[in-house]
Amino acid sequence: MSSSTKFLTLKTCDDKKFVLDEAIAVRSQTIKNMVEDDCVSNVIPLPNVDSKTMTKVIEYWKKHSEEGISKDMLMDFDKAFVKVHHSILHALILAANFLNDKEMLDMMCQEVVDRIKGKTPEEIRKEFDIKNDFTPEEEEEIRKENAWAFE
Amino acid sequence: MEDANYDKLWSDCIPSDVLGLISSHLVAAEYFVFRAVCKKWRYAPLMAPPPPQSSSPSPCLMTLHKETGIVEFFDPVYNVVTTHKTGIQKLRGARIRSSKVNWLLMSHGNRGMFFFNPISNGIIELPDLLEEHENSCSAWTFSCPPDSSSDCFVVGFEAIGYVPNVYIIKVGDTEWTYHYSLNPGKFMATGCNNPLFFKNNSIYLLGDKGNLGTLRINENSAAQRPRWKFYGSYFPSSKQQLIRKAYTAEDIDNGGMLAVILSREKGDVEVWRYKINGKELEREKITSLDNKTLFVSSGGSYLKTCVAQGLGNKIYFSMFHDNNKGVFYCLANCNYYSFDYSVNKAYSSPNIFNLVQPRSCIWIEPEND
Repeated sequence: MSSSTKFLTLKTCDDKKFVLDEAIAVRSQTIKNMVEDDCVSNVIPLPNVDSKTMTKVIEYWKKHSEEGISKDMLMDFDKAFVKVHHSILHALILAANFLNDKEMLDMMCQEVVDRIKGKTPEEIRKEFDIKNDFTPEEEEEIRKENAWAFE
Repeated sequence: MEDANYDKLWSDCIPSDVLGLISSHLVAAEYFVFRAVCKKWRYAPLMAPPPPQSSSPSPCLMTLHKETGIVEFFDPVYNVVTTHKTGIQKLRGARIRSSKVNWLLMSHGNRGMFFFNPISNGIIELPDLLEEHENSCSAWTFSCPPDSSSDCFVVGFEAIGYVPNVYIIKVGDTEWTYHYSLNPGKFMATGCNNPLFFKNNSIYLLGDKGNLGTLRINENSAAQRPRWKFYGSYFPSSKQQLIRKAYTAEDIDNGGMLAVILSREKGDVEVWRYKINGKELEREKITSLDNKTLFVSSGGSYLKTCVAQGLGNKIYFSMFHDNNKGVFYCLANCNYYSFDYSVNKAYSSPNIFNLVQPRSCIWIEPEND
């Protein structure tokens, strides 16, 4: 039979603890490296991730580790998973980046890309609450650089 | 709700390399619009989008290096050479004549003719041209892929004098038929480089003076004499003299032909729409492609629904800037452009002086089986 499951305890920046099957947690290359380098004591601190975000990340990891889950079901899950306010998307991207989970980072970036496509710079700013920090002159210059792209 | 102040999240509070990763998923105008959002985004690392593994939405420009037989495919959306085929013996010294779907019509020496499929490397040989005429045709076309179920006719136009003489063969025949032009009409088409073979066995040729000639092929036999018809008036001679090159493409959706006319040394661009209505030719200058993208080259030109954001109403030529960056003409602001994913500023110029045209290249639109 399979060897006994090993658990890891992750501690987020707001001091919440998550106990997680190691086999799932090593989807994070960062955690995997720590485990392989044997520098895991009892608790793995995640100073850059809060508990709210970590809950989402673990939800994603667990779903993607489920045995026998169909591709279609995963696609539906992913689709629903990324339908969040941009501030949550932002937190998830930073978490995926810090945890070094390339698959998850790619998926979140793809969602940002989908929200950018077909929009003007002004529409993109609105979508992501970004402040336009160009002077009117700078903006004019940028448009001139690629006039073909701004029709 | 806690802190609802989000206005720094995507500018100050996001690592540049993540922004670089995001922008590397964007192509054409999307990529440059991204860099116009705010300063942080503008100065994110410039990372070119990786070209697609499978098929691209756009036709690609195939260049043949005649001395070596090396073939390259250039993808205009990703702005990069995607495939490189090492020397194909058969292609050494060969000349590209026409393209359709996955097939190229090629000529070799004075009399050799064959089809080449650059996707599969397949070759279909055609009989040699007739000894007494050899190959002095300036323009060639064919009706459909030579391996398809319908009859494929190959037609060459020897446009030396008035009304071109015509070579025809039906793929599978053992001999070419050479039809002298008996027609007294005054129709010169020495500059025509891609006759358009329509599905109804009619071929459209743009005349040197801006008029139109159509040749109707007998659907059963290459030996039967094809019929010419001529349409339209001449352009004013002042205009004719300035024309240096013209390309024609099938005007999908409108059922006619588009002619892209390059004039003067500097390469002014005009687009004309040709459509036969009953016995009359309707010819009008147009200033918009209805958001389509046009790809033009000698022997193969294609009008496609806009292939990527920002590339609507643009004409891609078989030219390069800076050696390896694709070139298109923007109909809206009458400039040639060439963008480069590794710099923010695109090259732009009202003329073609700094652009290079490879000797032997053609647009093809491969279809994956």
